[in-house]
Amino acid sequence: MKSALSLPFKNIARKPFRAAATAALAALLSFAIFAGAFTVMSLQRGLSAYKARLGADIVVVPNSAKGHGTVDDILLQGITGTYYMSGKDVKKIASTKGVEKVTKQFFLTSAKASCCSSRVQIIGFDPETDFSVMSWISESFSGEIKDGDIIIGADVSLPADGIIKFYGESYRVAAQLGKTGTGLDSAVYTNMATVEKMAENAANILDGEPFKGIDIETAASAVLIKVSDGFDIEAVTDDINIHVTKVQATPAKTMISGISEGLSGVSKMIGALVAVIWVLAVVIMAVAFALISNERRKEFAVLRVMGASRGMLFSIMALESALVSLVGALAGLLCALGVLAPLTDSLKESLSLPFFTPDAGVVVLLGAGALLLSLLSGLVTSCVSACRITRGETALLLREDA
Amino acid sequence: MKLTAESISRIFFRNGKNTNFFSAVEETDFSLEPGKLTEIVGRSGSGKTTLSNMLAGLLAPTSGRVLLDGRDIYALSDPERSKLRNEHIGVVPQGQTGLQSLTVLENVLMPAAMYGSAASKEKRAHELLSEMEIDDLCDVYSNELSGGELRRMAIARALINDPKVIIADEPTSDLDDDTTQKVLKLFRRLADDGAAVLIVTHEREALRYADLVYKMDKGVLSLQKNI
Repeated sequence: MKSALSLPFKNIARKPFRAAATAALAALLSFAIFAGAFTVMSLQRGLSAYKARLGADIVVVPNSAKGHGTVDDILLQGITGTYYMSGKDVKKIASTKGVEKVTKQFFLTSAKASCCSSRVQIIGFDPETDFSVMSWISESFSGEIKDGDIIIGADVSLPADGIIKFYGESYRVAAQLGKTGTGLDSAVYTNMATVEKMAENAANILDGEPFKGIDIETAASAVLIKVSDGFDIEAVTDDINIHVTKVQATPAKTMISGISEGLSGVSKMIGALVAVIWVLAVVIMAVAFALISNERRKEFAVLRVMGASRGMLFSIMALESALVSLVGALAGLLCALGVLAPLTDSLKESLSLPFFTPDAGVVVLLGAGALLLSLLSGLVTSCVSACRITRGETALLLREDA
Repeated sequence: MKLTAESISRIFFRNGKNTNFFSAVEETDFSLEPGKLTEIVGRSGSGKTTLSNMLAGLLAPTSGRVLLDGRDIYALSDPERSKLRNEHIGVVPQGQTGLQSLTVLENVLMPAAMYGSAASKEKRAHELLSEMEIDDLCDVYSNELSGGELRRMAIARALINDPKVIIADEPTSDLDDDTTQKVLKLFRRLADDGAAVLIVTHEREALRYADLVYKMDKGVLSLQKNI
């Protein structure tokens, strides 16, 4: 025995079940704190990314979008959708009073492509008029999108030769975008000329489906609108819905606020769940330490008889509790990582909300925070119990257990 | 070192028929002289253990002072009093007091490990364990010992820092006659070597070894024998 501080190590070794039970509580704490914070943070980051991507005041889609994927679905869940409004409708929308800028997008669903395990959403946009996609793309790609070039989302596999085939024709991957945590990550972007070419090829292969009665050159799947200063977005939206038939205009903030509300609800639920687990675990931990301390009254008294001060007893208890809590909290963290890593994709789908996992640095900080909180919970509860026991006179402690 | 108690008393609160407190030790003066073996005898519940605990710095008196070479030990802070007890007062408490996570040797070395190096005391620990005839059990955990072996381990532990004051509460309970003799002889020798020794006991045999014998009766201490 080197010093009195060897005692905690020996206590743990000689009482492995007691130590394991305490460690399990610390593990539960760190698991709940880390997993909860990770999920809430991922959702918040996802929403921020989503807000940044949309960039429009109003989004207009054809009525035929109902029953297929809506713009919302495509952005959030990567659900593929092909629906079109005519060029005439696009012009009507553009001429609505209060509309400052208009840009159209053309959605096309790929046949199975070499890049991807499932069909991907191809989004054609007009770089000349765009105020939504380009600002985001420019974060990863500063060049000009030439005809035949495509830009792929973060989740689309980049082939070694940089070429992806759609509907029998090869396209050069000009850039790959950063991760957004939304369905956009599995989409492919290109300019209007290229998407029109793809659509023509698709029409030939699919015997005209799904473009029957559609003029590919002028048609659009979605129209994004910027409203002029001084105009009410709701009023412009209503104006479009009244005057342009077969389309559905929706203020972008309504889409976002729906997601925001959903996110806020889920965040609150997760936060409450984490708080409940934390409180429960701390209460159980406090009760466990109180029971353990009661069981160890005699041990404390004997140490006092030998000349241990209250401070020394605290140090022994604190070190023992810190060791056990640290091991438990680390195990809880590893479990949380082990559970969350494979479940991230399932979470994205099941929550139906933008989900963007934090950077590695933030994950490390989150882990350190969860570790620290679990450690502190263990330390405080054990020291409170030790304080309660050692507050009394040593002789009385000895007598109670004699 | 001389341990002196000046007018110490101890009252405990408890609900009784007529009063809600009782006096475990009535106001008394007492001293433990270097080189002398003092015994306190008396019936169970007479206040012997309360008095010895007050002398050992484990129970604050309701009134009075306990002085070790003139220093009031209850005027010291907890860390100071604890260190003083560790260095100068060897206490053998009543009952079984083994630390179950430690072996016999580690139990004996624990007081030395608290404020210094236990390694330097290993030889002394083996000497004491040999004297207590349990050196062959030095690697055994204390929860595997018999009651008598535990008492002997507690005695060795109290002596590891070579204290100048020794306070032993019923050190020979659970011991056979032969071992009782050996333990009493050890305490006698320690007193002869200059330590101030107090034994609280029911053991009649112990009277043979004592210089001073006090009797405790209902909290009142009286001198029975002064050699």
